Amino acid sequence: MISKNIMENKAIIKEKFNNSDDLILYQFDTLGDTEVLLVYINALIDKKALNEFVIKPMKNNLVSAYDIESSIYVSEIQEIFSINESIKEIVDGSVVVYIDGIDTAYAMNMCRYDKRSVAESTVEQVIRGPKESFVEDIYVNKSLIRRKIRNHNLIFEQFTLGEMTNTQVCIVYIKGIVNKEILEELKARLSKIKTDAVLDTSYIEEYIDDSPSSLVRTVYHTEKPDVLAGKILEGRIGIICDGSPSVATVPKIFIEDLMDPEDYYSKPKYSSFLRVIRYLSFFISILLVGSYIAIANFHHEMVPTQLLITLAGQREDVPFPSLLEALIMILFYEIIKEAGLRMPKNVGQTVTLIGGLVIGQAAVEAGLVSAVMVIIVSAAGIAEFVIPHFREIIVIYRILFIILGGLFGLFGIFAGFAISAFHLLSIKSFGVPYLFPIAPYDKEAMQDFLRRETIKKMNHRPKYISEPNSRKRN
Amino acid sequence: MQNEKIPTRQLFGLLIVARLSFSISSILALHVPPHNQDQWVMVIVACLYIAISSMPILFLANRINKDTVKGFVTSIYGRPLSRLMGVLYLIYFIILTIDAIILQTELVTTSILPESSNYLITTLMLMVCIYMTSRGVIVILRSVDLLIPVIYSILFVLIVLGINNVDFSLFLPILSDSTINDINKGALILSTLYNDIIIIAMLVPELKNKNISTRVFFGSLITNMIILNIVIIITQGALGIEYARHSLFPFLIYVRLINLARIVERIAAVFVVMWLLTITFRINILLYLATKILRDIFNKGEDDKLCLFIVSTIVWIVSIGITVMRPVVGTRNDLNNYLAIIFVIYIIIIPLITCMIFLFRRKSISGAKNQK
Amino acid sequence: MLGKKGVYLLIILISSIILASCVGYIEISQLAIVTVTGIDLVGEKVLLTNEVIVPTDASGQKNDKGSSALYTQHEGDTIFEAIRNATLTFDRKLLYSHNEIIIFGEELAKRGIGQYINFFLYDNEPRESTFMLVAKDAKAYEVMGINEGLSSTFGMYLEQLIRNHKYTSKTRSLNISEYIKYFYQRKTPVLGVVQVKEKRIINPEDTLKGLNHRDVLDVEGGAVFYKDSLIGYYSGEEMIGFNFLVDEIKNSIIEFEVPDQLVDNDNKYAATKGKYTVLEIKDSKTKNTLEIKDGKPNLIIDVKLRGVIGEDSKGLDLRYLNVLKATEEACSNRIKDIIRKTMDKAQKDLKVDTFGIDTLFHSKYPKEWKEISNDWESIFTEISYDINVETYIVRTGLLDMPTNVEKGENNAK
Repeated sequence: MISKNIMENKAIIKEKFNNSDDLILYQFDTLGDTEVLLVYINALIDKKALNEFVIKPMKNNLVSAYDIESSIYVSEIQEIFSINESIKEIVDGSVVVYIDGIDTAYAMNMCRYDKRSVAESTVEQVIRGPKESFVEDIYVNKSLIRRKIRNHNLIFEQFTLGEMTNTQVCIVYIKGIVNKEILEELKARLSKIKTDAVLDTSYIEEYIDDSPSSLVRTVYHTEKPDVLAGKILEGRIGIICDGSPSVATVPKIFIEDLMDPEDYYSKPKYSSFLRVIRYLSFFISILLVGSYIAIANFHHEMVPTQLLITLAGQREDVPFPSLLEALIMILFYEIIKEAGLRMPKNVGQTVTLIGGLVIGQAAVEAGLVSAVMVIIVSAAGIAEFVIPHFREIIVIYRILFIILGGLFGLFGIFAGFAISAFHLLSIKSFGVPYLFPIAPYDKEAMQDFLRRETIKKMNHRPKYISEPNSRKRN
Repeated sequence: MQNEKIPTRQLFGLLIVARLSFSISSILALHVPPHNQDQWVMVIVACLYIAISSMPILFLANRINKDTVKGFVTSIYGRPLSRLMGVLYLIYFIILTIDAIILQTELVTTSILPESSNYLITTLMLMVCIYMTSRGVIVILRSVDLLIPVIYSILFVLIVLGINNVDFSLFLPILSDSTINDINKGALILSTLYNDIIIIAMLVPELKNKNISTRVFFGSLITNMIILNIVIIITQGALGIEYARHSLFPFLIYVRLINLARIVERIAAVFVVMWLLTITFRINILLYLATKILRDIFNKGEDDKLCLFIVSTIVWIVSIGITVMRPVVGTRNDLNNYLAIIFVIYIIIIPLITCMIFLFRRKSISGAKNQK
Repeated sequence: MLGKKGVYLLIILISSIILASCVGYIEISQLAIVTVTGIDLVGEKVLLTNEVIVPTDASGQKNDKGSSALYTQHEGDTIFEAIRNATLTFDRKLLYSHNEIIIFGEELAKRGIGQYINFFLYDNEPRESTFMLVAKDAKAYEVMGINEGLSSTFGMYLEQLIRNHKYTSKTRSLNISEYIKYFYQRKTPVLGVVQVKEKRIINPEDTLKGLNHRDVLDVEGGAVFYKDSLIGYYSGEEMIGFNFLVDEIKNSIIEFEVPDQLVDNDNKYAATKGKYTVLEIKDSKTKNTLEIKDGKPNLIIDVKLRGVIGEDSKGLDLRYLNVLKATEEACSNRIKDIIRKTMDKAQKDLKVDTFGIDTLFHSKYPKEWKEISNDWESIFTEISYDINVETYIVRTGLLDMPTNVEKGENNAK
């Protein structure tokens, strides 16, 4: 409860904040000799506005304590009845006004702090189409979404998660398109989250993921407002987390990771072709090395004679068995990749250079690895970068397939394929089968699968994901 | 969304894929009389026999409709006898699973991994299938949607690539060389291996639309036989009638003969991988049904892993015991006699008895239901 | 810390390398790629000669021709034993899945090849599309190792010779699967042959070395089998007839002589020299029909072919349709001659039906076939036949008149 005595309040707040240095407690008398206490955190407040629109009118005009709302020039003002609430507001970046003699405080949102301005996304780059990306600030992000979808049915629902961080988390969806079952399920899962810190959307992702132990992500994330808008318009639900530029959407199905916003900004036939390339890259990056090991060591008859002779000639002096050779190559490939990612940009080039030279050329010339293996591994490596969303799956599965191929030949590849296919088949994201438009097959959703139909012809929203029987146009 | 049901499309696809695993491996239809270019006539005749022999179960399948299989059988036989029925059919499904597993082991070890031990291949395959089966019937059926396009496009490409080896000039005119007796005999033998109807009957309660057993059965029968006939005709054309008759895996040889610009040659391994996908469907569904019966006997739920473990251990032990001792595909002739007897017992005699009891007790059964 | 799955993964990783050896994991570098197999008899034993590719040489690092393959010989009672015996004297396991050609020594071919090709069908490794050849007048190993082509090894050289059969039709390519196919049904397969021929010395270096000649391979002709033993050979020309009869003509050429009066048609032009006109066949179709006339089987051979004039030295004036027609007829007659010669050879000399006429009989008269099937070879030798050839010249090349003609007395135009 807020005490009527302003000094008491002051003491409590001071104690709650442990005398933190950035807490400002400014006490003064107004025109009508009412004592007023302003409490805020130094770094979070727009001081100019505070002086101009709050302190000045108070000092000059405020006569009675009950007139406060009419005398100051702040749009976002809210009454507070408890100390805990006021503390929450202060932490959030509001200025809380305690007035002597009344047991109500007022929280004015005057939050202003330095934030990154909206810029082009460095992760998801497009040639054509909107280039802006989300920033770390939730208000900016919300505004970006609002500007994309100017509709009163667009709904934001606020949650506060993290017992220590008190992070603002917001779900966004469009009423009428969103599938209510999924919405309820998401809300239930969000309310079950018990954690002390939420520093990024990925923290929430892990809590609401359907298959946390699997490598497969059942939550999609993007940094681009246009992508998010597209997802929401298909009935998905976005999860925005303050402090993170990546916004999560659920439910997520397999093909979303193989799509690209630019698919919708290019000609349909060309984007269909690009999608085929992406699907191919997916399989190449996972299966190529394993299949090569399998074929070269078990199914010699499959290799054309001339090629087999060439391979045999190359392998003649290589000391390691090719399974080991492949594993070593992959290991070094991963090391170089990781080094290239983590290095400062100007050093990164050196890493690539040394990596390329040492691992590639020198190793072949020294006879430690065969040239074919270098080609195969780097082809698989390049293909991986076409579909960055799948990196986790690709890296791990590739190694598994190498081992399976080296142990059992194509039979092992088959076993791995069958098991991983069934794994993907059995996963669901918020009740939607992960491989949705293929299995279970759905004719309408297949319009936007391998082949992208023209936007004109895509009339149906995906079954299961959006409200049943909803159409884009009537 | 919790109670997902199986669409007709998936059941239909499953039946075709599961049958395909036999149609393109050790093609029994090439090893039965009349042993000449008239095999395809024999296959058509066999359709008739299959249709007749499947009648009793088909009749029952159409009556299961609202009930579970367990409830249905219990309502006919009463509790203790229905347990016995469960045990009998459990054995049947285990035999069928073992048959498929052994066929798989033999094809893999003779075609792509001649150096590997049967032991290892059987174990790995069974492990894969156990994992798949443990995902549940919905997922098994759902995988049909994903894998059928893969399987069929590979099969189609293989057939097209090898088509220039096919030469019909050695064929004699239709029916010039065979007697009706021969054809009948072959058709009878062939029909005793077509037990798809039992799969349909077992899956009826899981279906979205429960009144389709007859349509699915006849549709899949005709489709399967058309595919079988295509395979028979092209392999006979490519290998010659006698070579096709004497090779254990005729379609494998057909694939081995493919040569495209001397780059795509000897792609038997690709075929075997595709074939393995088809046989996993067969093993999966049989293993699942066997497990389901065991679960029903012990009143266990859908997720019970112990029953799956028991069934697969039996399958594992028996099939390894057989594969390390005897070739099975090579000695099909004798083995088929046993399978035929089992078929007659399980697909014709027991269901016929069940039908009769059902008809006699119809009133009391429906009365009992109404009381509930 | 790693968790259960991590531990499993580690175990798999470590055991993978250990396990790999017991599943049939064979590095390419542990294998010897066999490309040609020669089979001979030494006494009662099989002598197997293999051409094995030396990988480092063949991959182009050392381009010293002739050394990119080596030859191994092994003996055994059966083919399989001979192959396994190879490991006693040769350091790598022989890989048969790239074996393209099997050469049978003549002696073995006469004794019967049936029992020696079983291995290639029972085992998983060898391919069914392996070509079969008979070494004419020689042991199989005697023809092996000769490489006078551009290919890097003898095997590839010989394989290319076989694959080029369509340009001459004087030989034949038959692989094991086709052999089996025809053998079960026709009993008289015709295989390709290979023999050694001499080639004049051209390269002065060879003369310095003191060589008189070099050897080349020649695949002209065909080896005729009855059941599984060699009974005779077709010559190159007879093989053209044979290929016409079994409808395997593709791009070969026909040389023929045009009657003289055709050239001097209206005394406009006269050829100076030259005799032959050559037709390049573009496509050809043979249809054999058999019918029983007065209790005797009569074979009607209908050949239809389309071709292009490729060379003419007789001086045909092909601007006139009647000349064209007469040329076509001359070509047809030549083909009839060729076919007749082959039929004569088959009926009178070899006395076996190599053309699959028994299948024709069987399919047309199944009842009669049962009575005479055991006696077919003697019936075949008595069989009468009519040959109808229709030639269509569809193009005449870039000229309508050869260069070796002069203007005659009555110059038109």
